[in-house]
Amino acid sequence: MSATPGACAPPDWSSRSLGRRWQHRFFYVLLRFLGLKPARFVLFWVVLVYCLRPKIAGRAKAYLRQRFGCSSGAGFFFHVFKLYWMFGSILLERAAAGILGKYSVSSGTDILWKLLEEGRGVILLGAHVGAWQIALAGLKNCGGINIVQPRNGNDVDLHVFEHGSARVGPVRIIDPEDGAGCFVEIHAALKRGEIVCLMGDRRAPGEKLAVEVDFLGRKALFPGSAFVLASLTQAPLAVVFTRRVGESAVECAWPLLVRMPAGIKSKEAVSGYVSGFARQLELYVMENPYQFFNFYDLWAS
Amino acid sequence: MERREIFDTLVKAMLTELYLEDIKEEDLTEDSALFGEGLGLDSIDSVELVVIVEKHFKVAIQDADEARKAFASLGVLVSFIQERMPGE
Repeated sequence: MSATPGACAPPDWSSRSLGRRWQHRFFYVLLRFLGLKPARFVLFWVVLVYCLRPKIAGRAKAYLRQRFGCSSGAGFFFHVFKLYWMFGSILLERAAAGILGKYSVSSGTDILWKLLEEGRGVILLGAHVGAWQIALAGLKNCGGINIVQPRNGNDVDLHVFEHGSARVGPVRIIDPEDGAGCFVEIHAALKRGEIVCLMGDRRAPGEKLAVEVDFLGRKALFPGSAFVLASLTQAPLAVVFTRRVGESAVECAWPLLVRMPAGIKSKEAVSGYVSGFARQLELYVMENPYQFFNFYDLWAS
Repeated sequence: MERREIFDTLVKAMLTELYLEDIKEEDLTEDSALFGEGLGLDSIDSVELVVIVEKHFKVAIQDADEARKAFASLGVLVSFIQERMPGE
């Protein structure tokens, strides 16, 4: 299991995977030769152990406190188990999508094709929800895909496009910690008319454009750079949230399509757009409480 | 285009198009850093800088490696533009 990688990693967050390399490989071998069911049996015990380890269970505390009002006791254990079980299941199915080619993605690519035809590229603004990496496999015929996410040497679990049979591509990773280089790469990708995937629910280290918005009943800081980028490049920005709806089955929802006016740069100018994004994310989380995997305290001052 | 002319055009474009209201043209030299201290640009300004360089000098900055080299300082960016300007 890993903390999901994201476009915008705060300073105290790392994309480092939980579990050792061999443990991840063990699951991949299990999936390849025996399929999902035996892998899910092993996963159950792994999740149980993780939920009993305070440091690991604690990663979900900020979210569960806001969403369910509990941060300890049996109630907390119940919620954290359900959350981690869902997360683990999605990671398994992500690997199965890559190794076995087993997945289904419903709705979405027609919307994306129309936006791509405009020739300005598309900014896909998602969040750490649902099964976005499985959904990515569903975009394999949409041309170049660029994912903005940190990746360090300890991040040992493979993405769906890194398994041999996934055939998702061409996928490029853009490192957000590269600062100016990251944005130059994003600009170049959009100029080529490609898709750039960003996460709208986690800030980059030192990101100046953090906007305070209401989220699950408290003020939380969300990044605003995606909207500024859309304004600068005039690329359409589509908010997309994925949802696991069954075994290896993912549904995409497109709650917002934003065409930013030119010249939007300041925190004040972008705050309405960020609020709109946060509102849509909140609606998603209310409907899908166990599919929010941003293991980071968004509400910390 | 002469080096001095590139420098002046670049500085004027940056001050107006990046809204750098607190910085005076005469305070900038070829040694001025673009990011952090110096002009104080942040990483998202790099996109606008790429657009400015392309619009005023017809020079494209293609990727992160080129950007890292070109954005070291104002003087380095001027050299980068001078080397790549069409017809130079």
